[in-house]
Amino acid sequence: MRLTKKYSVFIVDDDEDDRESIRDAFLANKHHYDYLFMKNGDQLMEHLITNPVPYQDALILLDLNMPGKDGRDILKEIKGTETLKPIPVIVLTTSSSEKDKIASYELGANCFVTKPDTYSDLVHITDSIAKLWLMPK
Amino acid sequence: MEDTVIDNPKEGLDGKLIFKHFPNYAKHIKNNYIIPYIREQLTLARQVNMPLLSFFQSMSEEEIISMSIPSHTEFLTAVEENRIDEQIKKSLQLWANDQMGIVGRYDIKTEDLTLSSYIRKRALSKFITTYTYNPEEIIELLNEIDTYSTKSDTAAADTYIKLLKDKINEQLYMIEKISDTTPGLNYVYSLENSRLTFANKNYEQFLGHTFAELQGMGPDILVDIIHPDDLAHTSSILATFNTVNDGDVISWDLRIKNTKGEYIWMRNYTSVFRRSSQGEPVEIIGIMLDVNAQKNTAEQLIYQEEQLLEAQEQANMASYEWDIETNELTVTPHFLKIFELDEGFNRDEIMKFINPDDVGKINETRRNAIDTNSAFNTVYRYAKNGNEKKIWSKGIAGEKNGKKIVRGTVMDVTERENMIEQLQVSERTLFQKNNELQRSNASLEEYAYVASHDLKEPLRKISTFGDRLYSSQYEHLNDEGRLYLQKIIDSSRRMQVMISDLLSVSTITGNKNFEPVNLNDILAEALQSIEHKIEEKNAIVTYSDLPVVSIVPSQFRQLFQNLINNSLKFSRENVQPQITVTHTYISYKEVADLGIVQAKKYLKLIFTDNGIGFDNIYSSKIFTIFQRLHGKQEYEGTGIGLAICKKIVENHSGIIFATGVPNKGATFTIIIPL
Repeated sequence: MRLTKKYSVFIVDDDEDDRESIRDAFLANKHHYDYLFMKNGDQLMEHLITNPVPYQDALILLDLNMPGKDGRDILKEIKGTETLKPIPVIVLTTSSSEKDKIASYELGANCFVTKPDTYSDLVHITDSIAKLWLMPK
Repeated sequence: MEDTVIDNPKEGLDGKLIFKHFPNYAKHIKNNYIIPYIREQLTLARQVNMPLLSFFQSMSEEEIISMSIPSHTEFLTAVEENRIDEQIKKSLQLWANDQMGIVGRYDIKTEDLTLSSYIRKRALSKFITTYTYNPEEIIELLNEIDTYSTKSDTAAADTYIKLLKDKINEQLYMIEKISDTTPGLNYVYSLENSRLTFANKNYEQFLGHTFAELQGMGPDILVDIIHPDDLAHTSSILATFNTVNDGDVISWDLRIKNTKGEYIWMRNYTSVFRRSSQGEPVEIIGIMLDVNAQKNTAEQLIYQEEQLLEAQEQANMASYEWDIETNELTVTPHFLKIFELDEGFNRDEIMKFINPDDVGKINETRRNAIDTNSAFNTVYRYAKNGNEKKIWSKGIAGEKNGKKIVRGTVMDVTERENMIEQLQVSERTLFQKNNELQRSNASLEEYAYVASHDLKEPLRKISTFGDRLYSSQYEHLNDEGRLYLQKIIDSSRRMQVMISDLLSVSTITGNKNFEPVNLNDILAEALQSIEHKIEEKNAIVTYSDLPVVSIVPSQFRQLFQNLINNSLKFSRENVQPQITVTHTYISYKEVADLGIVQAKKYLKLIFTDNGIGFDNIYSSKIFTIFQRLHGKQEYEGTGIGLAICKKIVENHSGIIFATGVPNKGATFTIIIPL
């Protein structure tokens, strides 16, 4: 499936393997977008401020536990900034705790997904994310 | 008068005196010499110093004479009319009846009687020569006067004796009355022959013994009625009477036995009653008063005081009274022990051994208490013989008999204070340990978090990349390579599950969010979440009327779910699984042996299934974490489900146990306190 419109998918994760696995999982279903890798929150925020993207063309996949500005800080900043607020943020984390889930939604996360234990599950998840948020409107 | 003339004066038939010359002579005196006659009597009375005169001391001679005229005239007239008997009788009657005016009945002495006889005779004789010179007549007249006088004297003596007798009788009667109405027991005891010689009626009333009975006891009386413990003392006191003066009263207490055999405390007041001619005491007289009530109260008081002192000693305390002016301390016996002092100590001596750092505090609190008549309460250190003691002193300042005093108690609280100190040390240690425990709990939680995140991370990668390798390189691997890779993936997943399980077990304890919930609802929710499994196994779960209990709902949901799951998992092949949940209430008595916390009532939940069951030798093993009775190949799972059940029940202060019959089924019993 080749999409005419270029979407920006921000993969914010301190784990390089995970960043690549997530992108590969998207690509496994031929979801070809702009995948931007961010090691931490500071990088993301810097990028969003210097290279503003229309919110309807962006999606953020956010890890919670990262060195420096972590996922919670970023959620707070994005959802507290009028121009960034509409960008969908999907928390994709190893945590499965209720506490993290509730906190994330309270901070404005649009979805909370626990990183699956198998790659095939990750492929399923990225596929449904792409279909839900990245299909041309 | 002619017909009754007699030669010698003598009594008539009726004992009446008839005189021949005396009547005329009396008339002669009455008419011519009444005043000289009275005056003569007065003069004579003065000469012989008649006691009766003392009653007329305040009167002049003329007054006495004029006062006496009527009675003398009456007397002389009676003689003149030969009514002398009548006159004697009448005058004695006046005396006996105490109608003599100034002179009282008992004022007349025997002396008065003899002297008045002499005076009357002399006065009557004095005027004879003015009456006649006839010697014969004179002699006869003198005889008649003498006869009259004798008669009068005899009658007067009679009256006197009678009066005396009456008086004695009256006194005797009074003594008897006094003796009998006195509240005490009066007695006279003979030291000479050791017998009771007198006892008043009270003895009979009070002790039940009559005087005759007491006398009958003879010399044994002391042994018979005195308490054995008081006998020696009594005997020694009786012996001291040899040296006692008349009028000295000796008193002592002793117990006297009544006829019922009861001993009554008496206080005995005794003095010497009669002495022998050599002056040795022969008899003692005494009065005994009942002091039983007093004595018993006193005994009780003594007993109570002894008890108090004993209690003080046991409590290592003592009381004191401090006279502020004299600085004198009056203390109970244990005071000396507490302060390691000898008799005759003074307060300064105590102050010397008090820790100098505490002296200021003591002086200040005492001064303040004395100034305001208030109480104080201090603990100070005292070291006389090296070992420091802690003394707790409480007292109150006030007044006693107009003197300023401080009254209070001291207590050696060294041991107690040391114990408190030790207790504080252990409390601190406990607090530290508790802190450490909390820290270690916190680090356990931290560990759990690390395990959940960091530890699972590489595992997840192993499984993820294993998975990717398997799917992307499937064609490039031979069968052996595929098998090995599959084993790597399976093991890493299994380990991930185990880590998650371990975490879930560790978070059970500590969740104390109890709330009252209906167990029916909890069970229904649990069944719903495993609905598909129940359907898959075609199982029947029956339950009804479970109660409302205060529990942690999420945990009980998990508990029920795990138990049902367990039964489903270990159902027999080709046998429709049947699971029954029942409940009952039991008392502490029934669970006392199980080591469960004490409560009034317990809820017992019983889960019964008809599965494969198990041998009871494994009944305790099945709740152990990761413990499996069956191979992984037969039944899936990590062996965590029942361990979680046990943890949950324990978090509710309850117990869970299982019994099984192989190939018949298993029963899980949960008991929780309500």
